[in-house]
Amino acid sequence: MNSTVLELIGSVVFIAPLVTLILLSFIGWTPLKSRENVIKGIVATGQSVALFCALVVGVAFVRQYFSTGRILPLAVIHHPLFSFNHHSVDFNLQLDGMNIWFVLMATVLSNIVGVFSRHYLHRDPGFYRFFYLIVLFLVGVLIVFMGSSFQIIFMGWEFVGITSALLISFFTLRRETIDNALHAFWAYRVSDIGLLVGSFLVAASIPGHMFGELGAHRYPVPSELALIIPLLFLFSAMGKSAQFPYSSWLPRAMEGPTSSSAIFYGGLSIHAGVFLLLRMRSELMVPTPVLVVMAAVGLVSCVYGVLLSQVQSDVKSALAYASLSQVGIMFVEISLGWSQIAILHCIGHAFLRTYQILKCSSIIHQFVDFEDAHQHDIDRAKAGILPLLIAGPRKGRLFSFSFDLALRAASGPSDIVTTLERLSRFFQRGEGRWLALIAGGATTQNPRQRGIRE
Amino acid sequence: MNNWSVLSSGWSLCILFVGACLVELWRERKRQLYYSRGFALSVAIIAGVLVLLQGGSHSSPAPNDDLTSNVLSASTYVSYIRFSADYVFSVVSIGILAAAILFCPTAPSVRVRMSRIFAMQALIFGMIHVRDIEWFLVLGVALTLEFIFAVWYDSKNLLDDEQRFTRARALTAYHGVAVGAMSVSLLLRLLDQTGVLAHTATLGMVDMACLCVASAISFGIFPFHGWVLPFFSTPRATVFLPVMCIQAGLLFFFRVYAPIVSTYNHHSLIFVGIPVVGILYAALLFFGESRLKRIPGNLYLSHVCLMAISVVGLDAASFTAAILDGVNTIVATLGLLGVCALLHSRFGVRGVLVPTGLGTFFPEIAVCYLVCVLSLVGFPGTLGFIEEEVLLGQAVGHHNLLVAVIAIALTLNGFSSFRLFARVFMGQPVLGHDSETKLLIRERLIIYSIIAVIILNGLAPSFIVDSLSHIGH
Repeated sequence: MNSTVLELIGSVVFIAPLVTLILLSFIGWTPLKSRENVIKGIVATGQSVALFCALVVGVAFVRQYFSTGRILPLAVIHHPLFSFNHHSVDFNLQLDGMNIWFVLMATVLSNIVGVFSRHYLHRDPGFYRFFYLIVLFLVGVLIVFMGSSFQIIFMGWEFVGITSALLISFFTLRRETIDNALHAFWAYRVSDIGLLVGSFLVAASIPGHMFGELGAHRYPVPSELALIIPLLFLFSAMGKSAQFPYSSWLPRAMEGPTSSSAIFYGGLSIHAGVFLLLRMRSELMVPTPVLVVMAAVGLVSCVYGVLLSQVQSDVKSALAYASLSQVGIMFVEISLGWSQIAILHCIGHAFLRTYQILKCSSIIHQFVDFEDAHQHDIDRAKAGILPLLIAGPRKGRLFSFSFDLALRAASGPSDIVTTLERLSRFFQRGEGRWLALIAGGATTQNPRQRGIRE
Repeated sequence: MNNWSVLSSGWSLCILFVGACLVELWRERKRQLYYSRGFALSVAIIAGVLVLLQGGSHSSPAPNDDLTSNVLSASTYVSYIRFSADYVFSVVSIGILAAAILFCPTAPSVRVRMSRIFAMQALIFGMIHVRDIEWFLVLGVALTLEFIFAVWYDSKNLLDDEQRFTRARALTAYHGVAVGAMSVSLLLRLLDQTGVLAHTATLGMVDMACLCVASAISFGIFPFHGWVLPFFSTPRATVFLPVMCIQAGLLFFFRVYAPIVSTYNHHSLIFVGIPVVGILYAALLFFGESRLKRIPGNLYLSHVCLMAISVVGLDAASFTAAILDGVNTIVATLGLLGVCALLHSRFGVRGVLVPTGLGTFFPEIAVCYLVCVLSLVGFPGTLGFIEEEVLLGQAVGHHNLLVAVIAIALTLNGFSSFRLFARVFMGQPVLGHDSETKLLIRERLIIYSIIAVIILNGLAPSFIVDSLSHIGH
């Protein structure tokens, strides 16, 4: 197939969801917003077109691989944002031998979740909002997977973060959903620092850097940044993929609708960190100490996830911790240089986990006492993998240890947030006293005493 | 000079606004009680046309005075950031005027407030177009006094709580010092020009210090920021007063503070260190915030430090980043103030500690709030992202620590903003709702316009970046 035609088809993979998003944005201001048929028609069309085009490009890549033995990157979108003082930012998207699998995964899963959600959220007041956020997420995740540089990945990364938080708090009437959304958003924001700073450092060290330019070779990072840049990316990936010690947000994120939990924390969002590390491994020379840290993080997360999944009292949390442990194994695979195995593992895991989470609602519905039955879970834990490995009194001790860990992970907001809030109140009191001194006003009142309507 | 030059000069705008101010006062004196926005909107449209005419008439001469050798007579302070920035500031100013006119509720003394807005616009356009620092300072003193009078007027007539005079006193205390510093600088210049006082380096330094303090107070940089947060707790009728105030402050920043401090690079540790501390302090201050109207104030404090870092700590090209940041801050703050005022006027909400569920009633306001705060924390697809990209692009490689500090501050601000969004717009609705709370068409117009400006400039930023790109040089 002509490369120009292929580029055009590849660009539609991104443009179709984008057009869907724009259409939904306009519909949001009209009465059509409440027409489910219109919304699901638009969304299904956009998602199907994206999937079809991704499949066409995938088939073309397979043919190219069998005829030439390699896959050349395909630049599908080129939109210069601005150029200023030798620093230019272009919105470039590309498809290549690695990201096409992730793009296919994203489009297939979004279609599946779209079809499922049409029935799952039928007559729900948030029907429009849900599909708007899912399409926004699809646009964000396609930017992450198709981005041609780390700066572009960062753009999509931010979209994934905000849509994740907004979908966790989808059932806004419940206080817990909002608290859990904030918890997840805090983990996202903190981990975003790594990708933000890292992407700028890469842009400054390797001007005009685009993925796949060197083929099988990798860019040498300047020696003073050789450790810092990969560590920053690893830090960011840990946050997005809920690796230890960022794991506590993942079960909380299951507060959202089942279908969004499936696509985010079973399918795509949780694997964005894996994708970032794969990109880093394929583009930059990563020093051994960073690889050791990566493997250690993966191993610890894996063990942590296995232990905690054994003591969860609801099926969604158990699946969340199971996902965490699988992603930990992927981290280890990437650190060992087994990128192809990691990609296969990632795709297989994404589909399996999405299926399991989508199935959750039916399981909970069928076994009403299953969702929150501690005794049942204890029995389940006894019948799980642990008894096969450990026998005798150690089993009980391990169970208690896991239970303590789970309690600690589930308790309240993180200590850092609490400390920062205290520090903030201290400064606010100081400001109030200073104003009282110079203006004679009573500005040191505690807002808590004034309630919601001050 | 073409035929349009007189009509399209900045002074024509000043004359227009002074005339409009006098007409409003005359109508108030005649007790024409029924108020329609037709006259004020006509004035804004004429002013907008004049600003558009000015767009093509700017050139970019280089400054010809050396500030370091001739401090007192360096009238070119104000010439540094002229021309393209003038145009951008003029457009922003007209936008603020239009928003203020459309947003102002029909209430007693509306004509007085409108006349004040016109007077402030006249002074701001005077400051934009004046070329001598002496006249710039004279207009700056007048504008500062006008702000003080406006706040006292509000305190006496509009606010009814126990804190009504606190913000007036705070503003008076801080801006009183600024007026004093400007007056000292003016006096020194006058004595120098008349030959009464011999020109010495010490006097030059005194003048410089006065100008720095006056401008630092005007734009409210850390640690001269005490007036900012209470000042943003403004009543709905004058909700855009803080935006005008920060616009005037940013004029001081770009015309006076930035050229002075960027000239004295050997003091850069102080001039960079203070904003670095300030940006973290502002982010921390915002972290525990629960008062709705202080949200824009807190975010403004972070951004003014960001601007100071970019003009002082980095190279000349970063002026562009600073001006982009200024424009973004003004536009997004305008939107946030509008949102806060609408929520306050409709529901009486001032502070939030638990979710109030207002997004159920006002989805447009929720979207507007989200877009504005996301722009202020540099989210992709907004004007704030472009400013962040330009700024960090200049900083990275030379000042990696600054990049980290800015990233941390943006992260904290992002979380705080989203948490407040969640508390205001999510949750079980705890307040009542009736048909009167629906948004008016003119209110919708402002909200949609602000969202459009932020997103369109974020998606296609080349126009605004190109038009500002040569300013730093």
